[in-house]
Amino acid sequence: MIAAFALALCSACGRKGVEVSLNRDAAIYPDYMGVTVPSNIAPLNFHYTYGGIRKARTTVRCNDVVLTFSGKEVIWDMQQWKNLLASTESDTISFLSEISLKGGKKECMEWEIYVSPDKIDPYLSYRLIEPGYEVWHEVEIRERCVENFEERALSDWQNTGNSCMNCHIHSQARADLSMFYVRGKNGGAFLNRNGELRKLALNSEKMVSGTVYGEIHPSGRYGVFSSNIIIPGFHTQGSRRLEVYDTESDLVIVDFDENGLSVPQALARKDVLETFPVFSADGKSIYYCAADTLTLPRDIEKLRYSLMRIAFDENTGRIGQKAEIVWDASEHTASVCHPKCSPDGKWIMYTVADYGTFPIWHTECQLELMDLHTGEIIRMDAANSDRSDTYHSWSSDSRWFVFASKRGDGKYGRPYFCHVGPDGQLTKPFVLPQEDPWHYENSLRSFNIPDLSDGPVHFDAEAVGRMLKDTEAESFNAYFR
Amino acid sequence: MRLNKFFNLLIFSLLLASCSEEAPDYRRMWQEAHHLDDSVMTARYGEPREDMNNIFGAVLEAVEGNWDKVDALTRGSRTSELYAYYHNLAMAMKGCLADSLMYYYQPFERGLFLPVGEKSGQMRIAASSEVWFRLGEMTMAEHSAMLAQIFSPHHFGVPYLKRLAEINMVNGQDEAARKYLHLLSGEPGCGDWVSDRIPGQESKAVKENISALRALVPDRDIVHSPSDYRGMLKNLLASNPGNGLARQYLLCLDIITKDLVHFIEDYDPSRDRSRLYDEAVLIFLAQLGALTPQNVSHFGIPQETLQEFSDYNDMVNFNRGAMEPMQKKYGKTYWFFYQYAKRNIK
Repeated sequence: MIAAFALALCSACGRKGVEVSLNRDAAIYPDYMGVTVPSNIAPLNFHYTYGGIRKARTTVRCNDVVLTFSGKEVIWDMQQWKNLLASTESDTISFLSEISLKGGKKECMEWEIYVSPDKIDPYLSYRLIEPGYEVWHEVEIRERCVENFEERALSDWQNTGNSCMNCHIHSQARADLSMFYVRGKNGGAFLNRNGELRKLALNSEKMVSGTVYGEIHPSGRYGVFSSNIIIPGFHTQGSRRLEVYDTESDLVIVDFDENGLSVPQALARKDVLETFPVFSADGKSIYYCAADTLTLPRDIEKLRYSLMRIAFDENTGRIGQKAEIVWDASEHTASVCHPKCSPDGKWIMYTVADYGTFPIWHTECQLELMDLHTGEIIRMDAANSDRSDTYHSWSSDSRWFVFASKRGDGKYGRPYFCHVGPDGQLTKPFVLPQEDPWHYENSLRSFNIPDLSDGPVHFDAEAVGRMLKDTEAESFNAYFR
Repeated sequence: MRLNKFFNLLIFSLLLASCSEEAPDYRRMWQEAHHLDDSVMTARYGEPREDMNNIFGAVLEAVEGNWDKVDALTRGSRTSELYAYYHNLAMAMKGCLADSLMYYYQPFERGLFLPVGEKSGQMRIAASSEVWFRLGEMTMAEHSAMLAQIFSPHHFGVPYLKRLAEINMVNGQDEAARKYLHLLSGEPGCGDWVSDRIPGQESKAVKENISALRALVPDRDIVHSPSDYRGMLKNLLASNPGNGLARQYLLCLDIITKDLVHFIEDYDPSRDRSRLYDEAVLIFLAQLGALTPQNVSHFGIPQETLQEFSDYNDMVNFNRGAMEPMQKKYGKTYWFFYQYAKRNIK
């Protein structure tokens, strides 16, 4: 009797099932309707987003193969999915979704997924972190095989004493050439080159700060980086959140063979902010973003960066005398950041925002593509959303790119892949597939700086942890040029 | 036999009733809201203690807006920044922050706002969102709520998800609100809370509450440092001069940081009435050598208060500035605080 009474109390204390519909813009989540995927992608598990589903049936057709799934979730058997992709003589997988809802309503949809013969680089690295403004706790950089659901830590908080770590970037999607930072005590830049992992101290009194954003030269000998004084500021309007800006920034060339850091005098002007440098695909130029210094944060909405290009001589490690404007901020009344050249040398992709240098919370910011042979700018409406779309990286064949998008809930960045045709034609992007179709709804972490690579890197989190603890960072000599 | 059963039930019901009058076991509620097992709970928060139980309670009750409970939990003479923070907020929500300010321990501005970073304790981080949320400063509120979630043992906590859901409702970011509500929907005891807040299907009370908070959000956007409290309060008031909570916090921030120049700039004697303000004005006028009848009258300061200020100064002189003889009579005055309170620099 007491037990029954206690149960009655329990049921009266407000515990009841509540269904909160999510991602209502699409009938399924992740939204794979009409997307184009590479033929080596992991299974596209998804669930229906309708509230009050009584019954759901999904029929999949591809050539002679017909498969049926029952229930609100569609979860593929790995082998079944691989067989299906292998059988796509035509490039289309057709779906018929039949949904019965409570109250007798029925929904019926026919839709497709298109399969591109262009395979995507099989590995993706990213930092997993809560979007907690400027503070971190228990972050990690992970590497995921996009052909299945295997994932491992490249660097994690357990092995680094809860240090902050910054994102892992590959040179032209090469698994044998990549870099990331572990900050804090015993930290440094970790360079993965030719099967060797090195810990480097890429800072000097001659620089504004240690190195921050940058890229490794295709030859592997050099790196180009910005050194920045980075300030996080808070918007008073809650929907705009955080504005990160630099009060000083310069560029620096790193010689990984000679352990040298050169600060090009021509780009060390106090009246100009330079940031986000990258190499051209052939390594003969450096692209970077530059803006006149202003009084910040007061004039933040006037802070606009142009895209610049300057020659680079890989024989001497020197830059050219004069930079040219590739994309003029004053002409566009907008600001550019995060440029990345496609490995085939045809494209440069960058992010455009109304102002500023770090628009991860700018809902207006968009990806844009420029044909480097013609200078033509191609709008990327098919890829962009009404939330921030930033931090892209190219696949090694320049046919795919991945980017972090806050589309959907507007808070949590997720990696989306998009196919680029030879003429710059884009397809509807799709989010990185997860084994659990509810993964993104249930996750409170963002995927930062998703970066593709043609294979797994040779190190893991334990190796990084050991090196962090046991190895002194190699020092670098800095000089002005 | 039947009678026995009746008496058993009666005794059980009486037991339940008497239990319900005791202070709730907030520690247990905290543990459940963060999915912590006993060992993690003990490792993180130590053995059960009344003062910690009260802080757990203050965080949980404040999220629900139960200010009488927050007041009761944080009353007393504990020299705790968290107690001061919550008690001040409870008083401010009742519109009497200035009148109560000198009656409790005041760790300068840290009794009004809790600056947080990766080295802050978890309870401080867990608490820091509340004032910003109530003031209408949703960016700071979200920042703190996110940090609270990040620094909780499993990166999870019901109070933070509730706060994040409501912040996004206020900001009109329904998809984000839905995400947090979805995560909360599986939590024991959250069913009604969630169903009352599903965007488009909100209960009348929730709708009114969210509208009221939305009205406080500043329409003028500035970019600021997270420690620029005064700038944020001024901005809130510039958009909404009727934001009474922001007004109390601004004036009390000026006062508690002994910034009387800004206090006089911010103070409007025709609308802000409190003995505390009168006491602050008298110090300001005295320092300026402007303690004239006209000025005293301009600020509407009663003659008795002026006389008490004169008595206070006489007694200070008589005791040659010694603090102890002053404390009994004047310990609850701003004059005493202004003269003797020192920052505890750790």
